[in-house]
Amino acid sequence: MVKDGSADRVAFLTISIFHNPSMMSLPKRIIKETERLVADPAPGISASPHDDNLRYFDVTIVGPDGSPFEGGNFKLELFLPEEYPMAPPKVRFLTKIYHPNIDKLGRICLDILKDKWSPALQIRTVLLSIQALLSAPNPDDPLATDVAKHYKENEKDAQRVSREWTQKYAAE
Amino acid sequence: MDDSPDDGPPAGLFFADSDEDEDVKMNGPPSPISDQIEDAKLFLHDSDDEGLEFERDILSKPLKRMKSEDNLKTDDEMLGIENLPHPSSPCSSISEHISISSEGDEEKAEVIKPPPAKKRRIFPTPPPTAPPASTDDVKFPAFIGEFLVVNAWSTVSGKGYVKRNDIVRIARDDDDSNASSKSGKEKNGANGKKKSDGKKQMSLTSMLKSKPANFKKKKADTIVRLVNQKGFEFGRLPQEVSWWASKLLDLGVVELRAKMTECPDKLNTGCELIASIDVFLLPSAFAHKDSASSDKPTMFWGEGIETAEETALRERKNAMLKMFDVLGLRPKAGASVTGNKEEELQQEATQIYTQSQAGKKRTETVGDGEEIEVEEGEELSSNDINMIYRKAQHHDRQMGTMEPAESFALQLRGYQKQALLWMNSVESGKADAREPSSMHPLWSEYLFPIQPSTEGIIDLTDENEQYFYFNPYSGELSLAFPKAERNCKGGILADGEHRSFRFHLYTSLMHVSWLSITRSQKVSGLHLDLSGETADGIHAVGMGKTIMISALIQTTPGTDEPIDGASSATKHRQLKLNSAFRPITKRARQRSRPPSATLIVAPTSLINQWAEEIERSSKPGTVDVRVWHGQNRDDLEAFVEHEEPEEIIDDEDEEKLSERKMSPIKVVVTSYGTLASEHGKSEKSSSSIYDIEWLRVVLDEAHACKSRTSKTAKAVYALKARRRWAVTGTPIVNKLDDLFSLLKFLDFKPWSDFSFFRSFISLPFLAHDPKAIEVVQVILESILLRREKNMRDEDGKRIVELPSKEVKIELLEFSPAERKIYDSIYSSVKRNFDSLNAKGLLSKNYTNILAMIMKLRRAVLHPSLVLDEGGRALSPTGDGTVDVNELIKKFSEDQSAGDDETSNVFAETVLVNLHEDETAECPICLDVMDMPMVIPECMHQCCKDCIMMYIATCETKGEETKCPNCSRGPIKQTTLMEVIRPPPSSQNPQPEVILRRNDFTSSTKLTALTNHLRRLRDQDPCFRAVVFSQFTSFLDLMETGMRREKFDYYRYDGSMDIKKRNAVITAFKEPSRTPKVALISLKAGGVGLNLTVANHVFMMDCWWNAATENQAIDRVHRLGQEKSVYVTHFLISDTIEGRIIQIQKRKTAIVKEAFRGSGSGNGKGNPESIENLRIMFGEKD
Repeated sequence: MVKDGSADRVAFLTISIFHNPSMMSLPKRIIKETERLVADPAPGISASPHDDNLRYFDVTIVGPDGSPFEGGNFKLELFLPEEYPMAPPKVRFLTKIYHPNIDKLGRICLDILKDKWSPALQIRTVLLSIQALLSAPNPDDPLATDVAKHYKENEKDAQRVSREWTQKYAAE
Repeated sequence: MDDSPDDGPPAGLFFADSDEDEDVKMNGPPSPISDQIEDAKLFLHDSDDEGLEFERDILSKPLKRMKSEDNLKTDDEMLGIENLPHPSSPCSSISEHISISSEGDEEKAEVIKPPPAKKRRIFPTPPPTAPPASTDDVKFPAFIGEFLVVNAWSTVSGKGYVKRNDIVRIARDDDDSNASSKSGKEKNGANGKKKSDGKKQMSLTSMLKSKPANFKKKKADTIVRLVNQKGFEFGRLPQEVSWWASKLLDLGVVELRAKMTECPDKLNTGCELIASIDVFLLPSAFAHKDSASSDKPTMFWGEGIETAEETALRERKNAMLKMFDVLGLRPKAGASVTGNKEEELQQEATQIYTQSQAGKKRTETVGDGEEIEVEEGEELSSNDINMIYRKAQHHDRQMGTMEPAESFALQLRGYQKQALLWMNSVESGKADAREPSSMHPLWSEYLFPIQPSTEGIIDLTDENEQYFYFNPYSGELSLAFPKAERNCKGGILADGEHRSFRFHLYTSLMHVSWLSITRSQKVSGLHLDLSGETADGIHAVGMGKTIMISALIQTTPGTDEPIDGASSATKHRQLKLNSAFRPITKRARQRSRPPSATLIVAPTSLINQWAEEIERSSKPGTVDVRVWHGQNRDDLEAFVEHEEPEEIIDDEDEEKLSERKMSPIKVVVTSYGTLASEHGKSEKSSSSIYDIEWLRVVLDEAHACKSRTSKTAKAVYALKARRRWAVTGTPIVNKLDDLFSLLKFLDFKPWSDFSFFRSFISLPFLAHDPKAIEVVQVILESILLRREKNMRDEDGKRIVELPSKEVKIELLEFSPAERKIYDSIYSSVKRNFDSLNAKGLLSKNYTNILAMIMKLRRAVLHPSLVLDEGGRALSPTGDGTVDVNELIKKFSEDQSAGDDETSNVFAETVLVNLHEDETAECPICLDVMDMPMVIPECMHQCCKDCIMMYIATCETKGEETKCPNCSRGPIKQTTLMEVIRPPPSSQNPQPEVILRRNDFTSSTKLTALTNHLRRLRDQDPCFRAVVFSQFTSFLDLMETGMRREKFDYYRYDGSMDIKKRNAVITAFKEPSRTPKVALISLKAGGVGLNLTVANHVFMMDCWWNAATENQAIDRVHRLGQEKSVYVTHFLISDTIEGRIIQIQKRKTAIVKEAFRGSGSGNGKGNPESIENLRIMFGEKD
């Protein structure tokens, strides 16, 4: 079950290089968004682009207070595809997390990252949505079915595991 | 054959009394019927079909002369008899020699008839064309040489016909067997008379009458008979002599006198005779051909096919050349051509020419009325054209200048003053600014040889050396020095376009023009310019031709014109063309005063411009301009004839002359169309424009009548004028024949005769004879003035300084949807093309393919030009404005059904804030909204581009289109509303915000245009721009675009009548504080218009040749332009447009003659065109 995440990481990067955006001119919108993310970061969220690829962002989301993920610093990667903003960004958790809508590979089940995407949304709004997802897991629309089942059957126990994982993987 | 001795009266030599009255009616040489029949019977056994043919008339009669010397030797090589004896002796020959009755000796002849009578025989009545004045100096017939015939042969057997050193007569058949000749009775009577008094019966009138029949005769016999002193034929000349000798005899060019050098005492049929023949030129040889005869109607539909007359002319020429060759005459100076080679070339050329005639230029209509011009036939490369002009431009730099008349209100530039001097001198005919004094290039000079023995009837005691002149190209002879001079008052003003002069390396040896080869071979073999892709020097510019003509009109008013003179030649010609039904009365009236009015003929689009320019360039009251066009064609004569109530002044009175200039100079401006219709009218009744004799006729854009058979051209030729000017930037569009029409209009003899022009220019050119170009050069030197804007004056300055011109090519990318549409059309066209190509049917389907290409070219401009979806783009009328208040009302009504109170409030706020909220950010691009669009469902806003792109993305993904902000949907492109904030102007500092429905689909090019225009408006709120497209349907779309963008636009296309066009141009030129955009059809407005008020040009599509585009650009970049000119070409990358550019380059570069000759002459697209098509569909680069 447990797979080495590095392979996926490579795959992710391969995709990003394949669509190598550094070669193309960066749309004004991305520059603007980046500037604003840096200049006026949302609370509990930081995102900074790679120097060699301005469409690739290192993201950290602080676990929301009052949630089982409180105290955790969750690392994510975010990539803006060529079609952005007509297509949603690709986002993935790098830090292991016990959440019914996030699978072992860090993939996130969030409607705005899929069919509910709108070009009016931005990196900031996406990340805020993810932060909100941490506060309010939705086991009815699961991605990690076992976690969802756990949350549905015994939410308290599931939150405990989440907290444990946060301590174990996301503390720091 | 012994009827001759009975009736040949000794006195009859030289047909002494042929001009007697009773003979005038004789048609054909008289011959007693009885004799004829008898003779026919006699020779029935050996008569052949020649004898049944119509016989040629004879302009010259053989003349017998005695010579005693017998010093000529035969050459061995010439002894072989090449032709079998030709035992035909048609009755006509008998009758002829009877009639000629030549047995008297020359002494008797002298006594009875002195030499002048000989001349009279040739011109029995006043000659139809006067021989050159100098004819009197030369005694005719004039000896020009002798030659030996070694293989003449005898047609009889027996003794006593002829003996050595006998003088024999050389005779041609008479035309008495002509079936159409007068009744036998008349002949009979005449013959009876002839028998009794021995007079020569044939009259010249009858000969002239039968002449046309002569030309039409297909199989002309070439029999030349030897007739002894008794008038009995005993032999014939061999065919290699007779073919030309018969021609020249028939045409009255020469007289041959033979002496038997060697002959057996007893003749056998077919036995060899040797004769020495003296050749004399007859005065009629020097008579000029009447060029007007070429106006016979056959010319008009026989374009390209050699007319009978042309054939005759060519045959005469060939015969002359052969004779000169045989006689060993060498020119002392001038042109020389060796007969045979020339002949071959000519024949080859004739073939090529007639082949290429099959399809000249056709105009195909394809698609929605767009016309494709399919040019075929022989074209000139730009190199050739440059070569042609070069000589004409040679001395221009040093030309003097002339100040215009006082009435001229503008300042002329240096080169314009030069032009004025030149035109003035040409018109006044005083001194030519460019004096050519060389011999006419076609002529060569010959010395009359001294006749070895002067004994005889001709007095050649004249000590003076006598020269004569021969034109080896026409076979013409002249005694007067043929000066290379102008003989028409007028010329061609061809300032302007400069054709590029260079090759591309990729043109292989095959492609290099023969002309360049012949030129450069002399120096260094084949020379190729390797300059490669450097800027192609096609520049053109308005040089102020209108102004120059205006200056001429005012400076040379022609008051010193003789009342009735000078241009008699012109008049003569005019009479020929029109006189038949013309009332003579008007003519008489005109003589009261010399013509003083100028007629300007211009394309319809330019006539008002001419009128304006002339008025602008003259002081008030000095020139009276009348536009004569359309409905207001009032009485021209009243206008032209109207003068101040002033006495007519003697021409000598200088002072009064200047006074007289005070009465305004009359100028009439009309269009080619009007002229053509008036010409039609004038043939039936009368038309004032044709009744007036003009002082001067000026044709603007004179290449409009380059086709000599067109109605326009004929109308133009028929004008009566003393001075004629053709103004054009392209006197030669792409064929040498183009020039002919101008020469014809100018009445520039002899080149105004088409058969002449064709024989000596077109055909030699096609036969790759470099002489053709030289000839054209010399012609142009005397009648053409051509300067280019990049020519430099004496001080090395450019003659025209124009503001800079910046040409930018903007390469655009299709939107995905457009790309899809285009690609699908392209691939279907390409499939079609490939299958045709594989079947080898390309040339047959040439126009079909062109139509497909046309579709592609439209697809590049705007998809709705090719999609018939009942187009969104084409439907909107008006400007799509939406009333804001109504919108709010409607919105609240919609919302009240629901419960969303807040959204209602929001919507109202949005709409109210539209005025102030100019810096709102687009949620998609996060930038300040560019062309904000309101989504009517929720009143959210986005940039136009962003929301359009979003909707397009959703559609391709098959997703529902929703508002990006609130996900309300579905939303539709057409219901979106654009927020327009008109820029504040002086009248309206805070204009209302306008909402406009987005029911208009733009295209990449159209959007690019509107973006440019919007940017321009920001920089310069009262800019003027000109937009060219060749597709009027695209102009429609642009109109909508302009309306939506609130630009003042001025549309100009070929469908508009002249009044409308003028109104449009005038309105466009009017100063205003708002921007103006002219939308102009390339075809209708590409030439002539003066649009210097604008300094931005947008070319929406590309035309097949760059010259057309450049000419359009020069509407703006021309004299009078004070600002820098910016030109933007819009091209869509990776489409057919790239290929068109490729062809443009190719057109400029490739020299075309190499393709000729082997061409497919079937009028279906020549190899070059096919090659172009291959480029179109070739592999992508």
